[in-house]
Parts: sequence; C-alpha cells; structure tokens
Amino acid sequence: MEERTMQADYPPAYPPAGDATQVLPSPGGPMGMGYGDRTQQAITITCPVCSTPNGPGTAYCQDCGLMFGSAPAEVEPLPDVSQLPRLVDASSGRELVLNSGLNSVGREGTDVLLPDPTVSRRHAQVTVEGGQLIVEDLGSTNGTFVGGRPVRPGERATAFDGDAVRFGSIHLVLALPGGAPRPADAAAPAPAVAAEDRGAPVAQLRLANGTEYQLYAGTNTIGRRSSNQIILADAFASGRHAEIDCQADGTVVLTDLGSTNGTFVGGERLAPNTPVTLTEATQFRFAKSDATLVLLGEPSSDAEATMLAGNLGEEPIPDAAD
Amino acid sequence: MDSTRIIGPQSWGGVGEATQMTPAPGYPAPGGFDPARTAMAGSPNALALEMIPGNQFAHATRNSVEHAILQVDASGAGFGRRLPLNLCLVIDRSGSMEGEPLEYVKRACGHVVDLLDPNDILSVVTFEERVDIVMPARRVVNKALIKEHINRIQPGNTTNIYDGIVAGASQVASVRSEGYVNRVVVLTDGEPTSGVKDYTSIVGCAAEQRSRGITTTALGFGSDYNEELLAGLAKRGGGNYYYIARPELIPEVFRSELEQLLTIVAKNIRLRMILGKWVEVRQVYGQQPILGPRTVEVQLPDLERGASLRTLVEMSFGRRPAATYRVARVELTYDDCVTGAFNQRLEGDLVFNFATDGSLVSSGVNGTVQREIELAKASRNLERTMMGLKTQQLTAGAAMQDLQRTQMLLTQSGMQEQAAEVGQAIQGLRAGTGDVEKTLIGTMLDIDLGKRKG
Repeated sequence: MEERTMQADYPPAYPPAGDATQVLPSPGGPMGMGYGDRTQQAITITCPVCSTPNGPGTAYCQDCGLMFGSAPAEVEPLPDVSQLPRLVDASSGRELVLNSGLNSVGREGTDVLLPDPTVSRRHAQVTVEGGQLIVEDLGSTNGTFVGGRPVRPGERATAFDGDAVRFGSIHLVLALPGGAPRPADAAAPAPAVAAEDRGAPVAQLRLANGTEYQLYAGTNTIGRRSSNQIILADAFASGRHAEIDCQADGTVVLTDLGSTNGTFVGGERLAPNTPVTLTEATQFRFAKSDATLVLLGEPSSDAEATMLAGNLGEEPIPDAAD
Repeated sequence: MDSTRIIGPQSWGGVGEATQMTPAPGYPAPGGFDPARTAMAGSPNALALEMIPGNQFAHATRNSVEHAILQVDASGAGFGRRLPLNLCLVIDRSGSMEGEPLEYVKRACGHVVDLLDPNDILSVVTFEERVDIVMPARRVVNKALIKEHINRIQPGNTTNIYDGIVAGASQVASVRSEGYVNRVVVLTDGEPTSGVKDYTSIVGCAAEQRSRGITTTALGFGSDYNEELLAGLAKRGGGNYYYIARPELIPEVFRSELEQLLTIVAKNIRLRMILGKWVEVRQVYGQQPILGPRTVEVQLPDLERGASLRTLVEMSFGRRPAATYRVARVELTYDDCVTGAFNQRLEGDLVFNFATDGSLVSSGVNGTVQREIELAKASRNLERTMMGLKTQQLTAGAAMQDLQRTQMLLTQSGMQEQAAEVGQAIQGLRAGTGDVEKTLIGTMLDIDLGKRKG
C-alpha cells in the first residue's frame, strides 16, 4: 500500500477560479472559503473530491460522502467530465454532471445538490434533451433564472450551451458539449414572454410555512403537479387542487377543483367548483397547508431583489413525501 | 424525556457503529472517531439499528456492485407495559368449514379472548357470501358474553374474502388507532368464490390498510386455499402467514399469533437510505422500495421482542478517488410500543473504504452478508422449485435435491424454523402428500423479510 503523507491543511483539488481572496456572494449564513485560503477564516469544509461546501464539524461530505481526513493529500483527478453535460459553478469550480433525462435540483437529496440556504430543498428540475436543457422551477422560494430571466413555476424554459442558469443565489453556467449555442436571433425566452403577458403580480399567496407565491391577473392554478402555476409541495394536496382567479375589478376568488383532501375557508370545506371570494382577512387552507392572501400595491420594479430580500434564510418549502 | 437518539458522525460509537470498519491503515482517523468503542448495551430504545457493509473495501478505480445489510433489532428492548391491541378476527364460515374446522375456530377464538385484557379491543367478523359482524369492536371486558357470540357462528355457503377483509378493517378503523397495535387476522380454507375475487384488488385492499397502520395476518387452513393470495395478503399487509394443515392445529396458530401481537415492541417501522453521490440502489431484496431522487424507503412489519429483521440492499458504486466514503445515511423511524412514544428515530452511516488495490476488495468480503445474498438466491430457487412442481416440469426427485440444498443454507444462516419447514416439505414430497407449496410459500416470505427470532 502506498505511503501517503498527510498535510496539516487540505488544499482543495480544484483551485477556485479567479481571485482566491474573493468572498463567495451569499446573503446570509457563514459561507467562507475552504481550508486552502489562509486569508479567510476556515469556517466551512470544502470537500477536496467534489468541492461541495460543508458546515463546520461535519465528518462526511454531504454530497459525495467523503470521510474528511481519509483522502490523501493529492486527490487523483475525477474522471474526465469535459464531454458530459454539466452545470459549472464559476466561483467554486464545481462541475455538476447532469444525467441524461430528468435531474432534480435542490438543497437536499437531489441529483444536482446545491447546499445553500437560498436554494429550496426541491428547487427545480432540469432535463437534458436534444442539445438543450429544459428548466422548470418547482415553486422555489428564491426562484430560478435562465439567461437572467425568471422561470415561473409550471413553465419550461430552454437553456443553451453557455447560458447562465441561476437557482436562488447560486450562479451556474451550462456546458453542453455538442449542443448548439443560443440562437442569436431568437426572441426572448418563453418565460419572459409569458411574464409580459401576465403582467406584474397583483397578489401573493402566503403559506403558513413561509412560502410565498405570486398571483397574477386571471387564473392561477394550484396543485402538486408541476403543470400548475403554483406548485404545492404538500403531500396531501391533489395534482390539481384548486385555482385562484384575480379578476379585473380586483376581486380574488378561490375555487376547489374537486381535491381529495379539500380546500377549506374559515374551517369549512368548500364544495368543488364553487367559487368563494377571498379577502386579506380570510383564513383558508389547501389540504394541510394554511394560507393567506396578500394584495399587492404597485408591482416591484426588481422582482428578484424583492424576493431575495424578503426571504433571507427562510425555511424553503419542505419536501413532499414522494 | 427525549428518547430520540441520533447516531451520526457527531456522536461516534453507539449502536449504529457496531459493525462499521475503521478507516484503512495509512489513513488517519478524523477527529473524534474512536474505532474501539462498541455498541451501547441496555439501550432505552425498543430498536437498534446496525449497518453491515458487504465488504470492508470497494473498488475506487472502476464502477462496481456491492451489498449491505441494514439490520433492525428488537432483542435489546426493555420490558414495560405493552400497547393495547385493536384486533379483528375475520373468519371464513363457508360451507367447507362446516363441522370440525369451525368448531376448532370457535375454540381458538375463545383462547384469544382469554389472552386479552380489558384494555384490548376485539371484534369478530364472519364471511361466507355476505359478511356478518358477529361482534363489533369493543373492549374485552365481559369475556363470557363475547365467547357466547362466537359460539353462535354457523356455516354458510360461498366465500367472499374481500368483503370480509373490508369489514374487518373497518371494525379496527372504527377505533382511533395510534395508541394500539392494530391487526386484522383472516382465516380461510378456500378460494374467493364471491365478491371481488382478483388478487390485485384483495391484496391492494390490505396494502392500503397497512398504509393506515392496520396490518393483516392471513391464516390458510386445509389444502384448497389459494396460497399465493394469502401469502400476498400477509406480505403487503405487513402481517404473518400461517399454513394450518389440520383443524386441531387451529387453536395453536391463533395462540402463536396472539403471542407475537402481545410482545410487539415497535410498529410503523420505516427504513430510509439517503444516498451519497455516485451511488444507486439496484434492488432491495424481498421488498418493494419507495424510490425518491436520492432516497430509498421500505416499510417493515411490526417487530416483536427478541426478533430482528435484515434488509439486504444491492448498490452500484461509481468510481472515485480512493478514500473512505459514507455511501448512505440510514434513518430508522418507528413507534415505540413499550414507551408509547411515536416517531422515534435512529440514524446511522453506511461506510465503505474505496481502494485502488483490487486484492483488498477480494479479501474484504463480509461472510454474514455473503450468506444473506445466498439466502436471497435460495428464496428465488424455492420459488422456481415450486413453480416447477406446479407445472410439473420438475420431478419430485429433482425438487427434493433443490430443497435439501436450501435447507442446509437455511441451517447455516441461523434460520432454524425455516429449515424445519423445508424439511417438512421434503417429507411431504417423499410421502407423496401435497401442500408442499403452502408451506414453502411461507418459508419464502420469512426469508424475504430476513426475520430472525432471538
């Protein structure tokens, strides 16, 4: 067995791109650099194998499971990933290889693991298909963005080789070898078009667990399936649970669509397909998720900043039990 | 009192670490890890969780397949007040049960009444073509009166198992169930001849009840019942399967079932693996796991004091830099029936040393896991032997040889009861008496569950 000498600190295998003293942008929580950077305090442990940041005092990497301290000083390079579709984290150099087909994206237990407080546990899903990446947001707290444009829950955005893809405050770049780059004359990506169609949000749906959804003029569908505009992560919610209509005269109306576990207003279960007016004082509930309505005044000019500022360190949507 | 124990990297040692290997020589131990520390004795928890990797080492330089056993152990459970039972006896009173069988059933039900106490709840349902609620769910206070109800059971005509099970489950469900061990015990001697008759619906009904915390045990009496249906009921229903060859054996089997129920220390047991990168679970032997994006979950049957369950998992590992890795976090949740505390949780880590030296992998095989893998194969062999016999593609002689090999394997693996069952099947083949399948299907169920009695 080869002799391996341990060094006192564990230099990361992949030196971070750019200036080593650069602080990773992060709105909250202790996210310093890994051991290798002596100018910062070593608060977290960066895994030498997969470059995932880990909290202080952990014994195993939360993504690849490496037992810290068991890797030799010189980590052999990981298998060559340059030909595989991947999302690259420019600040840490971390390469997140994508499976063909569907990949879940989130903070815990997902194919693409992004351990950051601004990323929801079930944040998004991305599919590698025909030289492109289809990106869908699953109702995350801090949003998903392709090429700077927000991806609304339930809508599918397309990312091309070289596009910036952002989940919460994690900025990634898509590397799709062999995929075509974004067509120069392409119109703005679909979500932006849809956003202009829908206008600014007129209200918000706020769940008791802190999750907030934007409600737009017209019909907003609500349920577990990702085809809904508002995706509930409640395991007791139905695939198509209910809808909220924001009418032109400012009235907001809630209708249950025949859900299994019911929609409740003031403790009373709604009959299916029977609309009920909602006010900001109404207490209502989808299955086990208590909710309230908040009417918005003037729409914010910078939707991203509003969402991030309002949701710092907030507990993102818990995993549905599936 | 906080009975939740987290056994994870921050609290090295404890039950979860009992069979973990230490890091390979040449690698330093991370801060805090003491490989010499062994399992804690006299745990206050009803259950103990143990991870047994199939090999100390795994291949670092190539993709590979490895196994592991996740063992849930009730042998250390302390004694205390048991949870009360909420039990429904669902009895077939179709025409074929007339005479001795039904008389013994009534006697057996009487024994059950004797074994229960006023905190327990009992209901009795009979079915032939229709269902009769002989006794709706009530506390076992007036035992004489209850036995009188039972003695009035008369034989009828056809066999409507589905409605019987539905009625039994609804009797049990009529009581608020978290604080009880909830079980429906079904006894039948035949095929379903009326009502819903297909396997999928009947077994599906039991599976749904199980997801609501009501388990189902299936007792098959005589030689004419459908053993696949009853074994399926027991498996998806989370209860036991018994084959009762002769009427006079009925009371003993009821007593055995009651004994298990009265000593259950944990219910609603779920085992969950959260996988690390480059790890896939290919199968969980004998189980239908619920798969999430990086999670695998199985539901285990209620466990009585002194017994243990082994779940055998087959995983594929992607290659990676040589080091020690936790390939999965393991979480066990259960309701503790001794302390009455719900949603108890134990955690542990499944760890492998990934090495570039292939000879380390060849010599690092864990014998216990190897035997368990062979047992799993034995179970599949039993299934093939049974099918071969049924379709008459296999001669009795060839089947006996198969069974003898399996019997030896079971003995070596400490499954004495199952080895004896296979022995009986061999006798049955030799004597030319049938019903080999009825015994063996139960043996297969036990092997698949990996259940061992302390």
